[in-house]
Order: sequence, then C-alpha cells, then structure tokens
Amino acid sequence: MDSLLGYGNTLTDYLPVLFMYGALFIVMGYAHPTIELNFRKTFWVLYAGWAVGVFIGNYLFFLLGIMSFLPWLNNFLHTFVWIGFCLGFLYAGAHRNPIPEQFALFVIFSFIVKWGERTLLGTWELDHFVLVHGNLAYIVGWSLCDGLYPVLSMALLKPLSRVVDGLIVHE
Amino acid sequence: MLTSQELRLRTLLRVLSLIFGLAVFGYLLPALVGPLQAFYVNLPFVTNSVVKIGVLALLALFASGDVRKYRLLILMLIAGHWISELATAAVLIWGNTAPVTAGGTEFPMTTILLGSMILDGVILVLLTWFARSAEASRYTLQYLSPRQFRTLTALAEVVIAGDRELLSPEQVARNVDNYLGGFRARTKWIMKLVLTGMQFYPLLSFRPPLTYIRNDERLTFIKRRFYQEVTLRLIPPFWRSLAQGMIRMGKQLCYLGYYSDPATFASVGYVPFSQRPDTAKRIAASPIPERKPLRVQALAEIVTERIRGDVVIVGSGAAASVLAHGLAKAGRSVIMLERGDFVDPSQFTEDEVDMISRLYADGALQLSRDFRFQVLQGSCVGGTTVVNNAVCFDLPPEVLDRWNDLQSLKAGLDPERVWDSFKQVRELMQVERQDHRNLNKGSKEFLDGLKRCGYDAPPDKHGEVDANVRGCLGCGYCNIGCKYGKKLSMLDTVLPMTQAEFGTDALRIIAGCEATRFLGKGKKVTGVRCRLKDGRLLVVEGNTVIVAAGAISSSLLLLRSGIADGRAGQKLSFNLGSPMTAVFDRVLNAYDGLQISHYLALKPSRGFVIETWFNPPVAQALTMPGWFEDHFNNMMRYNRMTCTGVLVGTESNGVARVAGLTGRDVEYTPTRGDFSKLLDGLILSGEIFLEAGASCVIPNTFTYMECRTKEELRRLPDVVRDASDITLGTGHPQGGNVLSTDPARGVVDPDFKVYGYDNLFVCDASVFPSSIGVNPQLTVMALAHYAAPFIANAKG
Repeated sequence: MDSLLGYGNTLTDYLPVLFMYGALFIVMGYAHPTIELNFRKTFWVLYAGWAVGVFIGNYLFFLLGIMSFLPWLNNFLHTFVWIGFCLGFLYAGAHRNPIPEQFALFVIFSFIVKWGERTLLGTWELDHFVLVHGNLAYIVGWSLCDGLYPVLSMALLKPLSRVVDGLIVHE
Repeated sequence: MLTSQELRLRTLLRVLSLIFGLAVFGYLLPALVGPLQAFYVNLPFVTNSVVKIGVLALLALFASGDVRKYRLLILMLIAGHWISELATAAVLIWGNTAPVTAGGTEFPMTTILLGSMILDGVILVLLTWFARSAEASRYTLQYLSPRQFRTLTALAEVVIAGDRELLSPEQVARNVDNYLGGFRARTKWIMKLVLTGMQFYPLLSFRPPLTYIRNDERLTFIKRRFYQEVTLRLIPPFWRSLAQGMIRMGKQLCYLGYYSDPATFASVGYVPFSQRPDTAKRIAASPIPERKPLRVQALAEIVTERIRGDVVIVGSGAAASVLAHGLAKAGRSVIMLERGDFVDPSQFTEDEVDMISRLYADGALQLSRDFRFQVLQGSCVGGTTVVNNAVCFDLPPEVLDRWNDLQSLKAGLDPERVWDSFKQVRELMQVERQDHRNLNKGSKEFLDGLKRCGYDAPPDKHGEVDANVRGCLGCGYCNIGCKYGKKLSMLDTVLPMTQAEFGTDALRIIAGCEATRFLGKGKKVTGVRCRLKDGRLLVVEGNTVIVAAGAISSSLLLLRSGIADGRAGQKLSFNLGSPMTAVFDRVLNAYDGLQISHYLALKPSRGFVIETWFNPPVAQALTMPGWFEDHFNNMMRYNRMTCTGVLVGTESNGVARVAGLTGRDVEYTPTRGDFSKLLDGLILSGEIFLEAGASCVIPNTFTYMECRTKEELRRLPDVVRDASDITLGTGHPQGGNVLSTDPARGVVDPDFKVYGYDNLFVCDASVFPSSIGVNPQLTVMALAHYAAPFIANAKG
C-alpha cells in the first residue's frame, strides 16, 4: 500500500492535493478561462504526450537514481491531472506570451505543487538535485525543468504538425 | 359566480371550521368534566390551544363566506398552520418530550407531537392546494401567477393615473398577461421577478405587501420609494439601480397593457392605418407590389440530427443576406440558420405588442446589466432589416480613415473597394431619397425650427433621409414590419431574389434554429451545434462557416464556443440614443407617416445626429416622459406631439459576456464625453422645436421636466447627472469582434477571417472597429458585399 499511496498516507491525504490542483487551476483560469476552440486538439495531443511520458519518465528517473520514488497514485495524479491537464491548460492560455514569461509561470506553479506535495504527502524528498545538495535544491531543480514545458512542447509539436493536421505551433 | 375550484375551497373551509369548532370542545370538555379534569386544568396549553383553534375556526368560517373577498383570511389560516408546524418541530427538536401521565395512563409526547404535525401538514397541503387552484381558476391566467397578477393590478391602479381612464386596472393586467403568454422572450421571467420584488418591497420598510396597501398610500409609497429616493439619491447605488429597474419595468408593463388596447386609441387621438380615411387612396396611388415567394424550411422537414452544406451562415439579417447573395452568385450553396421565426409579411398586423414579441430579440427585452439601457435587435428571418427604419447613411469618410489609421485601429480595408461596395449595395437595395408625401407629419415643425435656428444651410447637412423604402404609404409601422412591401427588407428583397436567381438549393433557410456553439477540429470549424425551436438538437456541418448574427449575438456565439477568448465581446460600441418630445398646440398626427424621415448632421460635427422619429401608441407610451398623471396627460396629447431621436456614436467601452442569469450580459455605461454630447444634442433638439413654436419640449428624464423656454431646457445637465437619470437605448450595437490587421487587437483580419481559423468568418456590425455615429445598416451591407469575394474564394 505504501508504494501506491506513499509511506503512512491514506486516500484522505490526497484530498488536499486535489484541492491544491483545483485552486491553482482557478488561478490559471483568470487570464484565459477557456481553451480556444482551435487549440483543443493540440491540448489533447500535449495532454497525452506529457501525461504518459512523464508518468513513465518519473519511474525511470527513480530507477536511475535522479528522482525519489513517487508513489503510484501521486505519480498518476501529478502527471495525468497536474502536468497533463493543469499545465496543458496553462500552456493553452499562455503559449502566445514571450518564452521567458512562460518559463517563469511554469516554474512558479510547479514549485508550489512540488512543495505542496512534499508537505502533504512527504514525497519529493530526495536530498539533492544532480550535484547540488539539499531537498530545496531538488524541488527547485525539477521545477526549473518543468519551466521547459513550453519550449519542449513547441519542439514536440513542430515535427508532429507536419503529419498531424490542425496542431497549433506558436513560433 | 364561483368556479368549481372556488366552491371546493369553500367546502373545505366549512369542514375545517366545523372540525376546529369541535376541537375547541375537545380541549375544553375534559378540563370541565370527566376523569382527566385534574390533569387538563393544570395544563397551560389547554387555554392556548382553545384560543388558537377557536381563532382558526372563526377564520375558516368567515373565509368560507366569500372566498374571493376574504382571501387574506385564507392566507392567515395557511400562515397559522405554518407557524404551528415550525413551533411543533422546534419542540420536537429542542423541547422536553418526556411522556406525560394522565388518568394513570402514560402518553408518549413525541408521538402526540408527530401526530399533530402530520394533521397540521395535511390541512396545510389541502388548503394551499385548494386556494391556489381556486385562484388560478378565477383568473385563468396565461403566464403570471395570481399574486403577480394582483401586484400588476395594484400597480396599474396607481400608475395609470388620470380622470378619463378607459380600462380597469384588472383589464390592464389581463392584457399584459395575455401578451406575456404569447411572448417568445427568453428573459420574460424577469417580469415575474420584478412583480414579485415590487410586491414584497414594502416589507423592507415595515409595511404590508404592495397589494395590501390602500390606493392612496400605495401611490405615496411608490412615489417616495421608487421616485424620490431614486431621484434624490437617498439610497445606496446598487439599491437605487434595483429600485429604478423595478419601477421602470413595472410601469412599462402597465403602459403596455393600457395603450395596446384598441379601446384607448381614440382617447389618445390615434387611428390605426387600416382605419385612416385616406388609406385606400394612398394604396391606390402606390399599389402593394406582388411578393416574390421565400422558401423557408419547416422544422418538420428536418428529420436527421446532422445536415451538411457548403457554406453555413448564422443569422439572416442585413449582412447574412447580402453574403448569401454574393456567395450564391459565386457558385457556393448556403445554409442559413436563424434563431427567430419566419414571419411572412402577410402575417404582419397592426398589433404592436404581438409584432414586437414575434420580431424582436427577446421580445425587445434585451437590456444591459443594470437594466438601464435597452438594446433592440430584430430576431426573425430578415433580421433587424424587418424592424428598422431602413435609414441608409454612407459610412462617413472620416470614420473609414480612422478605421484604417495605421497608428490605432489598423482595419486594413481597401477604400476604393469599400466605396464601390456602397454603390453596388445602394443599387441592390434600391436606396432612394425619401422625398414623397407620406413623411413624418412632425417633420414640418422640425424643418421650420431648423430654418429659424439657422441650421438649414451648408455646411450643416439636413433633409430627407435615404432609405431602402419605395412608394411608402406612411403607415408608420416600420418598427413592427412593413405589411405593404414598401420597406425593402431582406425578407422582401435579397433573400427571395437569391432563391429566385440561383434556386432554393443554393439558399436553404432554417428558422427557429439557434446556433449554440461551434464544433472544431484544429484550425477548422467543422460545424455548428444548434437547438431547434421544438427542443431538438441539430448539427449543421459546412466547409465554410460565417457568423453574421449581429454585434451582440455574434460575440456571444464566439465566446460560448471558446473562440477569440479575451477579444470577442470587447470594444462594443453603440449609437446611443434618447428622444426629445415636443408638444404643439395644433394636431400633428406624427404617427401618420414614415417614422424617420428627416435628419440634421452639423458640420463640423458636435458628435451627434438628430433624426425625426415617432411611433404608434405602445412604443411611444414606453418612451413617453413623465410619471403617473404627467404620463397620462402626455399620452392625451399624443396626437399633438412629435419627436426627434439624438444619436451619439459612442466610444468602444462596452462589453458583451456570457454571464448572468440570462447568459447574455451587456455591460455598458456611457463615458462622460459621450454623455455630454448626448445632452448637447438633446438641448439643440429642444431648441429647434421651441423655435418652431412648440408649447413645451420634454426630454425623457427620470425626474420629469417640461421645458417651456430655452433657459429651462439648458438646466438639463443639472437634472441629468449620469445615465441613470435618463432613458437610453440603441438599435445599433457595433463592435465586439473588431476587424484589424493586428491579431492582438482584432478578432477578424481584413478578409473577415477569424484569426487562428482556416474557415471561420465574421461579417456584421460586430466587426466595426468603432462606432460610426449614423444608422449602420448600409455599412453592414456594404461590408458584407466587400467580404463576399474573400469568403467565396477561401478554401474551406
């Protein structure tokens, strides 16, 4: 059960996590409350790519020793709800903004969520990020990586748009 | 004569009075005689219960004497049972429910209380049910509830205030109910809300509901709470706007109920066109043309849930029809979706309210968020062209220059092609100068005033308007549909002409079909999801989709579909309008002629245009200045009045949103500058009429002012401090999906294509980058003509 929920966690402990996602989602929606009709296909392509990719990637990074183990439910929610849905929604509203702005947005939101999950579930507990020591470095480090979401999304969408019709790639 | 439901209620009341009477003895007797005497005498509730049941018995007995007259007693009975239920429930929850012993037997108190609650509950349900059905059967109402009906009756009793009233307040309320029953407005429930609000508003000042206040006190109450407190700003702004909204709607309902009744026509000096002495002569001089047939698909013919066409156009008004013609000419076939009904001109009548309900968006109840600003739009096959005044002004050249200015609006329109489109559309719509005999009968006074004021010479422009009206009979019914085929609306010209030239397959029209949102796949809009009037859902697919549903509906459709979020619905502008009424000593019969026949445009412009204007009695009563006796007396001078409308092209500070209880939220407050221009125009209008010999001029202010001199008129800015102090309206919403070469500013590009989509176009007044300050229909048509080739050649 610990591998599913995390050490000492119950399903109830996940409710505040979902509440946190919801609250941040509402904040994200202030600037752009809906996903533009022409972006919806792109949104679902990104959703599938990021959610499945990061879900598997998190486990592989754990095996490689560069990430702590994310309990399976935490990993699922973090990738399929947070990264796939919420960050996808954020990208749908922000993809026309300058890249540094998008980077900052994604880093800030990711940091809040990782810090929240660390506090609520005790996950994201590794004490170093690459060669930098300390749990804070670990959380900040991966948040900075999440800041690359817009750039990586563009890199993913660009070749894909040549074969899949109707994808929006902001140059 | 009582109805069967009322007789049933009377029987119930008699039975109840008997039961309650017996219950009195049921409580008293054991206390006086028998083995339980000692127990009963000690119980204080015996006295209370005897009093309570005794009072209920008397109430039921008296109420059964006349269930109509003593309705209040029945309400008291119902209220008494409610209180009893609540009190018993409170005892059950918080009170002492220990068993009691009487005569050696233990009685469980909980069971007794529960039994009492059930008994009271049964009586309560029966009484409420019987009382409601008795009321419903008495009034046989179509839309309002009996309570709302009584509120309206009570309101009409004091609002229609004169010594020559021809209809009883109940007749007025009944007329309103009949009309509301037939109204197809989605927001008509607001009327119910307003009446309920007005009924209970007095409770806030510790008075009984409105219908229970004596007539004279009711009038005093309404004057004080809805008029003085609002005028003197004695209540907080939100409360003030609520009170103002309620009384405006309440009194408009009364006027609608009173002045729509043919029995009142003679009293105001109005003669319907069909009864005017020279009608036959006018028709003989300008015969009614034969109509080209228009084929509109009946909903019953739509048997599938999905249909497919080449081009799908949402809307059927000025832009949509010209586009359909242009596209059909280019070899494309069109499916046109119209939310409103198809009303064949042969069905047009002289009944204003009926026609307004059938031809206008939301039965002309489309209001801004604060209920202070009315936005009129046609909603029928042919759109606003069926109900407007057909006035045609070219786009002022300076406005086109401003639109194309690279530093600001950046519209990117080709001026040469734009002017060519104006020329072509003028020919297509047979636009001509209205210099015939059947003009607004008040225009002579207007022209006289212009001359005396010195505005009758260049550079100022004035004279008869251009309009797509040919051989006008002067019936004065432009705003409720021209039955005589003289106003060349889309219903009479372009739509039937397109079907005649290119076939009914080239233009299919589906009426009663509301587009609710677009369906898309990537950058392509694949179709339109619609709701049919009969409740069915329909998906209409097409290679090209065009939105031409008018400034507000088009913006909302894009927003509902998640298109151009953050840009659609913004930068909404209007031609802000307010009337100036002039009273003359002689009979004018201004209703007997083309409603808008003359105009004045000053050069250099002071930001407004003045147009002569007058209406049949209901529409005129709704905009007639004054309250109570003032309004009534003004209506008695109806045939000695004439009007001008002052139009101000506003700044683009309005917003349309999918929000609020109706899903159509129009937020707009005039800027200081626009408001000053409006007041300036109203003062000039008044001065023109005073110069022409008007005995007085009356702006449509919340605080009634009847100006007999120019000095009095110039006090207008002191009385009108903001938009809440004057009646404002528009039939010309513009912007919302503005056209610009800058994707960050505009919703559509100069080819009218929505940014980010390959096959979605918007073409109507919503693409105007700013307000144009004159009647916009010709510009709407010209832009549609301009856009048609771009759209026809676009690859879907």
